[in-house]
Amino acid sequence: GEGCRTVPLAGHVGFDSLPDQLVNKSVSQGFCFNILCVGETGLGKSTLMDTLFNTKFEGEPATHTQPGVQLRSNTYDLQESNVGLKLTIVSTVGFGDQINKEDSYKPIVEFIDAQFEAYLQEELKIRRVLHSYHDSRIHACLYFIAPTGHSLKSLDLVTMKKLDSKVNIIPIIAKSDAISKSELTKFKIKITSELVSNGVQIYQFPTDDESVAEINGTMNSPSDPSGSQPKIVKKRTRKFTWHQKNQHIKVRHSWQKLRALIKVQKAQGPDLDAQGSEKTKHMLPSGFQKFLAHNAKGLQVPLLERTSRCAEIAHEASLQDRQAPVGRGAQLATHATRPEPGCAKREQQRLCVCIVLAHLPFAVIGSTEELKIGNKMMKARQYPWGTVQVENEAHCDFVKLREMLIRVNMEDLREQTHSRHYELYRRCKLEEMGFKDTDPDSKPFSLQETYEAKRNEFLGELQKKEEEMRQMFVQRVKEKEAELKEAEKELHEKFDRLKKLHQDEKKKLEDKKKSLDDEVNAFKQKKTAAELLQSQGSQAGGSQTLKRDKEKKK
Amino acid sequence: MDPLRRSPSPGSTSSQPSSPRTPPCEMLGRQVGIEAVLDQLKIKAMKMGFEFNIMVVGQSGLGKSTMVNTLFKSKVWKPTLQGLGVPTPQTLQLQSVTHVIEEKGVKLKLTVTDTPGFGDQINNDKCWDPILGFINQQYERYLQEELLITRQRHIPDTRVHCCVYFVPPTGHCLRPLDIEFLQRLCRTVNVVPVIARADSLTIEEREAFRRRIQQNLKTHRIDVYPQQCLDEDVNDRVLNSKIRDRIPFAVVGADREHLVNGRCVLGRKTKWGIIEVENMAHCEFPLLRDLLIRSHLQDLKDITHNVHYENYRVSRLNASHALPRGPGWVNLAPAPGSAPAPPRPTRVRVRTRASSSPED
Repeated sequence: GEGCRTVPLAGHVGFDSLPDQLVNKSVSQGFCFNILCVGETGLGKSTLMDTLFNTKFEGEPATHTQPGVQLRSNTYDLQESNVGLKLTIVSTVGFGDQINKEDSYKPIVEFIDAQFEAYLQEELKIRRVLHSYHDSRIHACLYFIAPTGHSLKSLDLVTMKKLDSKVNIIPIIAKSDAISKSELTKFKIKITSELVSNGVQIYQFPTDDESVAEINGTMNSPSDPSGSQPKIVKKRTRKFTWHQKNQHIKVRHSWQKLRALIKVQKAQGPDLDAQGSEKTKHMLPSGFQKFLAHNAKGLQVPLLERTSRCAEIAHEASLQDRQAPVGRGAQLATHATRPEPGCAKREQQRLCVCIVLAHLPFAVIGSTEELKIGNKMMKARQYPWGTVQVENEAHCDFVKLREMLIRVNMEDLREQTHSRHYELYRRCKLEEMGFKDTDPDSKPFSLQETYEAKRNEFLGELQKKEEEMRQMFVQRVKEKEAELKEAEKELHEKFDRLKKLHQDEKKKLEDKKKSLDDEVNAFKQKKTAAELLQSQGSQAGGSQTLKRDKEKKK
Repeated sequence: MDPLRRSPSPGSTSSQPSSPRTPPCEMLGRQVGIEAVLDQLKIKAMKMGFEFNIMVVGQSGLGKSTMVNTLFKSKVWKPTLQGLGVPTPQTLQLQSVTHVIEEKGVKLKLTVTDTPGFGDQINNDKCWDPILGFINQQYERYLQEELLITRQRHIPDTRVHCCVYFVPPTGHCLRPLDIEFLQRLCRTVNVVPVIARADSLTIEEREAFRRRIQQNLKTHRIDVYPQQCLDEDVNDRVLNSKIRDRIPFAVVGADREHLVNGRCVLGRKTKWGIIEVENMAHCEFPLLRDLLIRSHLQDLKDITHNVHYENYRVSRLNASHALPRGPGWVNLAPAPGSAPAPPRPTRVRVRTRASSSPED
C-alpha cells in the first residue's frame, strides 16, 4: 500500500519496549568514539583529555623539536556502569613548532581521509562485517586555540578552513586561566566573528529537539553580568505624548511644560555626557535589545548578535510556540530571566527570554590534580594568588564542554560524521573514480554495471599489456638469435680463412721442401758423380799406374 | 545485556589506532557521563520511529489476517471472507499494507504482506517463487539505495524482517509443500512457523504434533528463527533454546471480545467454551507476541540486516545471474535467461576486485 494511515490501538501491544531493545543491543555491542585534538605543543591537550574522562591516559609530553606534524593515536577501553566505550584519542605532535608551517595541516587532513578511506573500503567489500567493524573515523575535532587574547592565528584559520568540511570542529580556548574575564569575552567575540567572516563551519549543536533542550536546561546557570556592558544612561524614561495635528485630542496639561523641555533639549544639541547613548538607545534595563519572535524559528539569531539581543514573544503565539522558545533558548546555553516553562494562561503574558551565547568557543582549563577546597576534593590549579577550580562554571567552561561533548551530543556527533562528512567523502571519492548515478539518458546506472564495465576495461588493459610484453619478448629473442647466427657465421668464415691460410702455408712449405729435396738429390747426384769420377780417376790412375807398370814391363 | 566488555581489538597498521593501553578494568566514576549516550540513542530512535515488515504465509482459511489483527490489536488487515461471488485468486499475489501505530510515544511503521492464494492451487509447484522473488526484490531495492553515490540519510527499509508461516493443524507432520517452502525460505529470511487454528487440537495432540514438526525440521536441516548458529553468548543461547523448545507455537487468533469471569478478553466463542487468546493455558499466542514484538523485534531486524541482507549482497555482487526472479524484478545486469535457483548459502568464493593477474 502507498499511503500510511495511523491505526488506533485497542490495547497494550508492547512495542514500547522497542527503544529499550535497541539500547540493550547497542550496549552489548559497545560504543566507540574518536576525538582528534589539534593544537600547538604545550596547550594542555593531554591534560584536558585526562580531565574530561577522569582517567590518566599514558603518554609522555611531546618536545618542541619535531621536524614535522605527526599524529599519535591511542585507543582505550572505558567502562562506566554497564556502558563500554572504546575511546580513541588522536593528538597532533609538533603542530605549530616548525619554522615553515605551510604544510602543517596536511598530515591531519591525510589522517582523516585515511580513516574515511578505510571505512569506505570496508563498506565496498563484497564480504563485509560492518556491524562489528571498529569505526576509526574521527567524530569530533577539538581545536585548541592559544590564549593570546587578541585573535585567531593565521595557522589556526587555515587549518580550520581545511578541516571544516571533513570533521566536526569544536574550537576551544585552552589554558584560559591566562586571560581575564573581560578580555575573554572580547576574545570570544573576536574569534566568532573571524570564524564567521572566513566562512569556517564549526559544529552547530543541534537545536531542534525539545527533549535535548530539557537535558541542557538543567545544566544552565545564570551568566554573571559581564563588565563589558556599557552603563545604561537614559535621560528620560517616560514616554513623550504628542497630540495629533488633524484630530482634536486632549492632551495632558503638562504638555506645555513638556514642549518647552523638548525644545530646550533639541536646542542644546546632543548630550555628550551620555557616553554610549547610541549603544543604549533601544536597550532594555536588563542590558539587551529586544526583537519580536513569533515561534521557535524566529529565534534564529546570527552568531554575532547573540550577546546583545533578547527575544520577546509575540502575544499571538500559541502555547506550543511559547513552550518551544524557552526550551530552545535554554538549549542555546542561555537562561531565562523569568523561567516559566509553560504559561498556563494564553492571555497577554510576555516572557522575555534572554539568549546569551557568550559561551562559544568554550574557554577551558584542564587539571588532574585534586586539591581540598572547603571540605571537598576538587580538580583545581593552585596559584599564589588563588585557586582556579576546573568544575566551577564561574571560572571556566569546562563543565559546559563536557556536557556538550559527552552527555548531550555524542550520538549526534557520530551521526553527523557518518551522514554528512563521510557521505561527502564517499561521494567525492566515487565520482573521482568515475561512477555516476545516472547516464546521459537519465536512466539509473547500477554501480555493479559500472564496476563490471570498469573491471572488464581493466582486464582488457591488462591483457593488452600482456600481449605487448609477449611481443617484446619474442622480438628480443629473434634479435638475439640473429645476432648469434651472425656471430656463428663469422666464426665459420674465420675458421675457413684460417684453414685456407694454413693450407697455403703447408703447400708452400711442401714446395720448399720438395725443392730442397730436389736440391739435395741433385747435390747427392753430383756428389756421387764426383766421387765416381774421383774413383774413376784414381782407378784410372791406378790403372794408369798399372798401365805404366805394364808399359814398364813392357 | 553483556556486563563484560568485548576484548580490545588488536592494533594493525600505523594509520589505525594502536592497541588499547589501559588494563581491562578501567572503571570511571559517574562523573564523566558516558551513560548519557544511552539516553541520546533513545531520543534519536524515538524521533526517527521504527519500521517493521512482517509477512504472513499460509493457505487460505488458516486465520492469517485475524492473527495479524490480534498481534497488533488493531484493524491492520481486513479479514478476507470468501463470499460467494469472490473467485479464488488463480496465481499467488502479494499484497502489502502499511500502517503507523503509536504506543507511549513510540511510533512503529508496520508493513504487513499477505500471500493470498499460496498453496491453494491443484498444482503448487514452485509456488514459493513469487514469494522469494518479492523478498529478493526488497533486498535489491535496499542494495540499490545503498550503492547510490548520493544516498539518503535514512534508507527506507522495506526488507521483510520476519515471515510467519502458518502450518495447518493436521496433527500428523509437515507436508511436502511445507518442507519445500521452509527449506528455501529459511536461508533468505527469518521464518517463524506457527500451528494455526490450534483450537482444533487437544493439548496432547498439540505436543505430539509439535515434537513431530521439530523432528521434521531437524531432519531436513531447516533453521528457523531463532537460528542456532547465530547465538552470540551464553545468555542468548539459554534464552533462545527455551524458545526453540516451544517452536512451533500453537496459536489461536481472535479479534472479538467476550466476557469471561467479569473480564473482557479476546477470544473465540464456541458452544463448548470460550478460548481465550491471551491465556497461556489455552494457546501460546502470548509467547508468539512476546517473541515477535516485546523481546526480539530488534533482533529480527538486526539479523535481517547483518546476515540475510549481507548474504544476498555477496551473492549479488559476485554473480548476478543465479537469483530467482519475482514480479517486478528489475533487470539490471544483462543476465542470460537462467533457471531460478535458490541463493546459495554463505560459503561463496570471494574474488577481490583486481586479483586477476596475468599468468606469466
